Amino acid sequence: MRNTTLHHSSVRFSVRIYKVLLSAYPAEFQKQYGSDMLQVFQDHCLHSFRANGTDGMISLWGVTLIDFIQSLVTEHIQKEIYMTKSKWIRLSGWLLVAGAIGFLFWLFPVAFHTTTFSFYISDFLLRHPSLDMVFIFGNHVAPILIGLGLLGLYVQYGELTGANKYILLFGALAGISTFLATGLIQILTLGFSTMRIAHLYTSLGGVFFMFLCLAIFGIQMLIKRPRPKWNGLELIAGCTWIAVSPILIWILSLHFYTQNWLPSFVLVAGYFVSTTALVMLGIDLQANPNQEIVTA
Amino acid sequence: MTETSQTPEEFLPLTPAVFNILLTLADGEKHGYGIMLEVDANTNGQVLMGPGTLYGSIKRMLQADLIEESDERVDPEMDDQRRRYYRLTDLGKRVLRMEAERLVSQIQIAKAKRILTVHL
Repeated sequence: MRNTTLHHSSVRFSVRIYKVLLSAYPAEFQKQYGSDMLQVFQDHCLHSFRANGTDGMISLWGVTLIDFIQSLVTEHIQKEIYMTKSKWIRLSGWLLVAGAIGFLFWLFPVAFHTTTFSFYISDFLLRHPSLDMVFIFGNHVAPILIGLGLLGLYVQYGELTGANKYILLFGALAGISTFLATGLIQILTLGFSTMRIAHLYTSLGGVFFMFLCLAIFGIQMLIKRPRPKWNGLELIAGCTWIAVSPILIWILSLHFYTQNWLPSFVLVAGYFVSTTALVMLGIDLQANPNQEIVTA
Repeated sequence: MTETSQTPEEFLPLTPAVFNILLTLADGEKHGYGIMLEVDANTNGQVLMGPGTLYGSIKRMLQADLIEESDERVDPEMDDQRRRYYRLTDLGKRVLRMEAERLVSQIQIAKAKRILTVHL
């Protein structure tokens, strides 16, 4: 009889302490599994006490405390990773929108330099001193923001696309680093206003590679269809950019060697489609940052 | 539950906790304490799994679609408390089979290198 009382009181006491310990877990985990964990611990307590008495209880507490510390750290780290991931995805969505629109500010004047349209828009942007920063932003910062936005896409949908996620990661990092390196060299050697054609081609090459990787990633997105709709946005953004980029190179080369500008409506139309797709991707990213993809 | 389109290969290699939980559920659905007891018996107490590790693993395996909840009912062999039961999904079965095959191939390498002398 004494043994039964001890059995109940020591088990009850242990369960009470474990219930207090459970409150240290993240609230969501506690809410979902707290009562089950308490039940399992109680079962284990009863089993250990029946099998080995007080010694069994002591050894159970030893194992439980180690398990408690390990799992507590794991759950809190996972919660933090999840929170950081959501914030990053949301931010990258906005960066993608800003980068896509900013890049267009640079590309439009280049494509429309000698048309009537340029008189109102392009020349205004290029010659107006207070708006010169817009051109500089489009030229030097926007592609980096697009690259950062693509890193957000990688974080959000990478797990769904298998090994192809590394193509996007590599493309985004290559695009960012190429643009950063050539931009820095150019700014340090020539300043903001002038540009050496080798620097321009290298940085555009980096951006071209970034969009090529986005297009390849887009094929996998189209196959896997992780979004309810608009799964072809990555492919559209990547392919249109790749398709019209030779025209951009041609226009820029012509300007550098003959000082003439060749207007191209095809180029503008292509970049407009690509930018629209990128903006839609950015809006989707910042609106749905909590789509959790988990591996065991 | 989040749907994943991961292939079984992408889950490999499994952690000892996940592998043993999947192995325990291979012959039918079980509740949390049932899983813990069987893992303890199968591994001769080498894989120590407290409630935190058990339910942390269960949470991630549910999210990864390796297992699913079947229902909540009383275990007639224990007491009158209702318990949540878990079972393997098709993906979980495939992942378990592939991990077992991977371990067998590792053992064959160990045998070829004369580290193991036991016949399996």
